[in-house]
Amino acid sequence: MRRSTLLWSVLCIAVVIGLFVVKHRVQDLEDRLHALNAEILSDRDATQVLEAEWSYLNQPARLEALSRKLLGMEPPTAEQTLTLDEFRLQTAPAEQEGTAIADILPMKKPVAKAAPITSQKIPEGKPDTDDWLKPILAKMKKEQ
Amino acid sequence: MTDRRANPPEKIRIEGDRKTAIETGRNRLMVAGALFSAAFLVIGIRVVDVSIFSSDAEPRYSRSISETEKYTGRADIVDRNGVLMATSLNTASLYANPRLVLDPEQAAIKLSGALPDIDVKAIERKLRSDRGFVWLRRHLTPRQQYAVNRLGIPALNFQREARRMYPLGPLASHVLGFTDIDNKGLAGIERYFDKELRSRQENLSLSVDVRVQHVLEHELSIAMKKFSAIGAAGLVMDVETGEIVGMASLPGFDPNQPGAIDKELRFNRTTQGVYEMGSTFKIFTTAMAFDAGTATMRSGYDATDPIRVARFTIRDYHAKKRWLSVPEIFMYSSNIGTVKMALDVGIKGHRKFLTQLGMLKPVRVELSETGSPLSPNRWREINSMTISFGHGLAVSPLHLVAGVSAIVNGGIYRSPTLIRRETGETVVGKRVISEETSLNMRRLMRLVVENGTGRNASAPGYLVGGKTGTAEKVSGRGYKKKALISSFVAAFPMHKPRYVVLAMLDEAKGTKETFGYATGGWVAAPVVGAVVRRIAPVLGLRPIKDENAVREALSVEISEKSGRGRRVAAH
Repeated sequence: MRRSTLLWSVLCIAVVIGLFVVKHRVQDLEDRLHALNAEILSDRDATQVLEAEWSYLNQPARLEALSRKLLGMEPPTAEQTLTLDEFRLQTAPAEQEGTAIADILPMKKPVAKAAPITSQKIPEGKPDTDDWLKPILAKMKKEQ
Repeated sequence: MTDRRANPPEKIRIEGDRKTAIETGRNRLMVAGALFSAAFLVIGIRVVDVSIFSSDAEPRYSRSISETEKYTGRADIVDRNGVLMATSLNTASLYANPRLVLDPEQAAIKLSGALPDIDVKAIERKLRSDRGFVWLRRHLTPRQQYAVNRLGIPALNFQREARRMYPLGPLASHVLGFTDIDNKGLAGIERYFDKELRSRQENLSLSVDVRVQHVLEHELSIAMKKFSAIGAAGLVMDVETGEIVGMASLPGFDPNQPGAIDKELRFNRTTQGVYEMGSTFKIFTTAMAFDAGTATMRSGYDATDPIRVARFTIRDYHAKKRWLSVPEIFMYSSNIGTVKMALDVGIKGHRKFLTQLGMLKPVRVELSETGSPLSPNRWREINSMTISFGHGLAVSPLHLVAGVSAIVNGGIYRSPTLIRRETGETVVGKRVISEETSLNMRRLMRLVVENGTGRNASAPGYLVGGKTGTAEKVSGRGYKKKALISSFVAAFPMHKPRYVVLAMLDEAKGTKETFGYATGGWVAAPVVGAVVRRIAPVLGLRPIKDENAVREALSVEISEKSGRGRRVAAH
């Protein structure tokens, strides 16, 4: 009688402690899940905002203005478009005249020719490496 | 010990009143016990039920967000390459509970510090009202939200709300449309697909390419400014699938500010506006005559004298006053020759042909802003005559582009769409003209750009072919001489057309450079040329290097009345 009572009470306490521990762990996991869910939601919001910003910064009008102003780009003409076959055809005569193929392949580093100084625009004042960035930053500031 | 066994325990016998009292007590105890055990049984069953069986019915405290579940309410709209055109962002909206505001005046002044552009008086009035909820400001920026939070006014609160954003600004505004503050679609695609956008999860892919759209809007706006036009419209359509790659109506609007959009700005000139298109209609008349067999590339008509019908006189704008072959009629845009061509086909045939091209019904496209064509109730000879050169029947620019697509693509009409088709999807259409007629029309349209009124539209390498159109605008019962609708409709590359391009200017005025002319050839054709030069590389079309061979193949022999031929348009 005594022994069985003891056994039962020990078992009972063990179950209670077990239940307590499990419940706590479940609670912890649920808290974590809850936090993760909130994080996913805010990350999703952030992705959405970044995607919108990406699209905003890639407005064709803005890209056109920037590449015209900063890179001096223009819409390509028909003469500026070549296929690889056409490129080979054009370079073929050069090959026959004894030029090694390595000379015309783009792998070879082009030799820099000394350009006449008059045609070069030398920036006035102190040489600032971030000069090219300034107009972009100024425009972005203005837009903000 | 034996004594005890010998004496069995005494039985207590209770009788009388006491017995009944105990009986009653026991009965009550039994009833109470039964009740309690029933209750415990019910609770026990419920515990088992809740913990084991009904885990679905009772949701857990938190559940993971599934992969596809999207938080924002309205689906995104993207272009054909997946560039985001419209999206929903979560923003904070400021509301207040006026009953909790202690000092409305002070609160309003404080708020104006955080949100500089609010009306202090109006806010104060709102905060004094006897309600439990008032909106103070919808859709704050995160910075403004922070500023308001810092004020620490207890009655203020934020509500998370989705706001529709158009990151590309005014680009393609008439295609997209816009939504009101509660995200209900009010115009364009947003309105047409309002229900779908609310319920679907995945993005809606449009057929529009934002790069093409930009080029179209850009070139049109330059021309609009140059020729002081009051408006402009442009379309680029894929002739094989019917997809609209670009649709521009200027002036546009910024869908991000729905409050500032005028009703006039919302007007979509490409689908809602119906105009008498002028000479571009000669494409249909000539194609019809070829297909009916009443005219050939070698036949011709006498265009010496103007035609007089009732009180009208039909003259030629670029009058040659002689016999003209069909290619010449088309090239010089002769009204007289075209009228004669239409009359040979007959009124019935003319009407049937235009019906097949969808010119007499509103065009079917995924926009609610579509205009009904203005066609004559009774189709008499005079109607047929004027319609042959594009007067007396007003259609939208989209009608025209869809019709021209059918003429150049081999003769199959496909209704235009703003929704992207799957790659490789075959689009059914109905045949309206024969392939041979289509080839002949392509050669004629090329002739116009080589030698005729559309020379300004040429784009080296891309073989543009088209037709100019200039029409006086209708005002009341007559025509306004000075108000012109100048247009140019073209297709390229002409040996195997892929795209049809239209440029139209509303009330353009001539400049010194155009010698005062504001006709389609002078104001609209250069736009088409510039657009083609810029969009062709974007659309993946390679310029034709050996253009002359193809030009030779497309050239037209212009016959003279004597029967001797003269080859033109080779160079």
